[in-house]
Amino acid sequence: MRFKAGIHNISLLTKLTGALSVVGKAGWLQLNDEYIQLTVLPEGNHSQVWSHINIDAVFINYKVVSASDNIINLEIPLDTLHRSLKSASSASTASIRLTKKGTIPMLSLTITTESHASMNPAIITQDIPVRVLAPQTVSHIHKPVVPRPETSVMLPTLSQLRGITDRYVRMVGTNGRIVLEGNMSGVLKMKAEADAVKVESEWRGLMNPAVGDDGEMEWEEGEGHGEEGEMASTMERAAFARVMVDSKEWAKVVRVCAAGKRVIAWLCNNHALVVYVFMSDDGDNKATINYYVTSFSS
Amino acid sequence: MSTLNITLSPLAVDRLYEALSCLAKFGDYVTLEARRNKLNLRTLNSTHSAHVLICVAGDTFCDAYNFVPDPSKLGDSPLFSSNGSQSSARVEEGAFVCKINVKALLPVFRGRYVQEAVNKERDESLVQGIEKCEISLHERENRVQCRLVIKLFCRHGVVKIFKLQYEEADIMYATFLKEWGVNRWTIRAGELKKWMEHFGPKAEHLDIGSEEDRANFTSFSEKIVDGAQILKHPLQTSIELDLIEFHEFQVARDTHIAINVKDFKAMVTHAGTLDQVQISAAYGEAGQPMQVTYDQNGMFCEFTLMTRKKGAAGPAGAGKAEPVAKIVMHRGTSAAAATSARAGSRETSAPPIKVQPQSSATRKVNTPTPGPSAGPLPSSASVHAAAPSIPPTASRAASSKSASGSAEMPPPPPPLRVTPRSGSVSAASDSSLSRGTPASARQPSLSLGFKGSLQPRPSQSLFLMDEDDDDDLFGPTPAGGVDDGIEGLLDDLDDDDVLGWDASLDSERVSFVELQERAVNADAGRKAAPAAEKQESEEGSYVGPTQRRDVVKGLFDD
Repeated sequence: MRFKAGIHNISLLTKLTGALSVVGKAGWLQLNDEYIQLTVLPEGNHSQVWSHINIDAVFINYKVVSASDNIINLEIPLDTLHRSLKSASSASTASIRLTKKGTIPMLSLTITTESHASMNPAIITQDIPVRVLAPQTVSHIHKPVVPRPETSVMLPTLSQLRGITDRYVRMVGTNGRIVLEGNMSGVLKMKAEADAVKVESEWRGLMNPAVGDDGEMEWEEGEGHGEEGEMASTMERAAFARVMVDSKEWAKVVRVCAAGKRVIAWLCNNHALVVYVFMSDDGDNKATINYYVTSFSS
Repeated sequence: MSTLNITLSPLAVDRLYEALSCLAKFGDYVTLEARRNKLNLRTLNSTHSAHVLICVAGDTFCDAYNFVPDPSKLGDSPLFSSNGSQSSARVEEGAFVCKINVKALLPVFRGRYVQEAVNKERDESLVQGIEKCEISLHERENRVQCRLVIKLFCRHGVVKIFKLQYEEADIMYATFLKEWGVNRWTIRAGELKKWMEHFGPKAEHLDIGSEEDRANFTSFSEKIVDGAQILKHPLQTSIELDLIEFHEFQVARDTHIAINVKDFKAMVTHAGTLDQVQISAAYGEAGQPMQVTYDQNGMFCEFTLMTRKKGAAGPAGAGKAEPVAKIVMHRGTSAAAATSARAGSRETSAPPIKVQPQSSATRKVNTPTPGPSAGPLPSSASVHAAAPSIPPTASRAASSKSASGSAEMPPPPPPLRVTPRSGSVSAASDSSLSRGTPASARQPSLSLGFKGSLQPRPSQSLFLMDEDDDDDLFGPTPAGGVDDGIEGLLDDLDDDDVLGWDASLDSERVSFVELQERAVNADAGRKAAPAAEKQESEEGSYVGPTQRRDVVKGLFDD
């Protein structure tokens, strides 16, 4: 079992781990020949976060070898990984490899930085303890399958959304509920009801990206939805899809979204909220996060 | 009654605050020691493995400094007055010593220095800002009313007055022999601080070593973890620096010492608050203390940190010889200190600390009589002097030249004033005992350069990884690996003793601050000492080990 690679896009990897460490303490990292996949399954089973990075978006000289189809599964401490990547922020070069020190398997991050005093670089090594997972341990974990969403909407400016969300969360408390409604006419509503107040925010003129163009997503094909997208009637376009999510969970979703350049929210009426975060600067899907949240039935 | 009046500028208050918050990271109490020309702030951590001394000079740091010792304590029968509670430290110079909870002091000085704000009307932090600070001591015959009074003169004529209670205290100081400092390096504080930021908050120990032209700082943990706990294992960070980064770097080959990361970080953080200051570190082998010093504008800082060897005294060594505890017995003059330190000795090593005796029992400081006449010693006393009273094991008798020295032979020549009560054990003899190697080659009086480069240490297979990264092959479950790890630790223990103390006691104790002090005030106060010496020799009887006479003199004479 071998893994080593040079990292050419440290900031992207740092942003990703920073976002995911908001969601959970430990994550499942799958390395294979084409991409790396970092998954967080928080306790409570209300949500799942799946991130996906193409090798060339972050790594160079990437090499992974293992007995099971060159796939390596690791359990990693996200905050520790994030912290160690931060010390690479001013690095001239950085590389990562799987190694073993003592009895503990480690992801070893080697960073070289030029210092002020000399041209001779300092070498920083950060060893992150990991657990190697057997293929059968992770074989039962799959991406959740959700029905084709009724609404697909681009989220508004993330800093603004975050500020408003924080207020909502404070209002309804940590175990409160926040309702999101969106339609295909570019409207997104956020609603909260607490003991004494009822608040609602509404954004208009948002983009509605077409559902289903993305190769990464697998939709459970429902009835009636075919290729008729652009022919949808005004009434259909104005119909709201509605989800109700835990306030704390929504706050996490927004924090994860803030790491991205472009975020699409898919609303499956009364079923689930799926947030699709494009991480890379070009906004392409070489580095993405999928955040699944189940909707509470109202 | 001692008189103490200090006036500080706002900037000095801010620097005092930084110093106190650094001290607060080590201990709960700070010991204030007022002298004629300076104020010493000291603290000792709970495991007695770190001692911090921050000295502010009366002239350069303070705007005004006036200390008049209590005349009644300056009398001509200085060391041992009839009043048993007088500490010799106080008597000798009349220094005023007290201890105060750091947490009580910190808020008094916090945020008092405010740089000129852009908008004076609206800047609320200006409310905190002061124009000057006066510290005075209100010591009364009636002990109930004794207070340390701190007056803060704020804007618009507002005066804030803090009256703090204090307790009587002993002076504790760290011993650091000049010859321990065979390895030394100097680096800019800001630079070191930048590197230390890479270490995670959970890092435990820091190994400092060097190879060829590079210095190496590596954090490590000795917790043995398995299963799901593996992910909680702290981040292991290693930083390799070119020696060019250092202003000076003279370290014997293959010297590795380990210290507590938090202590080191606390120190570096404080040094980083001083502008462009150079940090100097001096240390010997693992097991001897490390002394780190820096100074700027009338503030002298001296940190004495106990070092140890990586892998030693770890959990795996539980069933092994316990040199740590043994040394603690040697070092501690107060039983309590020894006990508490021993309790903590699994984690941190023995303290390089001696307590200035105060109780009537410990006041019976012994004459520097050579070993044999000294009578029965506590079993904790130094090895070579204690040999007659300790039933020597066969291996000890055979292997340790110095152990037999005091019984049948004259004491080892070079430490001319080997004093049993000094309670020091030589690094050489002690480590050779536990390893069973002949000590004949390693007398305690070994030349220093030799000592520094004496033992090439075997590679620490546990932590240093193989160079060839392509060979890191392993399966999901490291089956036999755990045993290997423990084995590695045990090997480490066998290899060298954890703590080794040098017995060359006649060498001068070098404290950075003391040197400063001597330079400033070389001629004063030499009178008390001879009398003390005489007094002391009459006392004759033997008590637990304590510091040497000349060490005492060096410390408290001005």
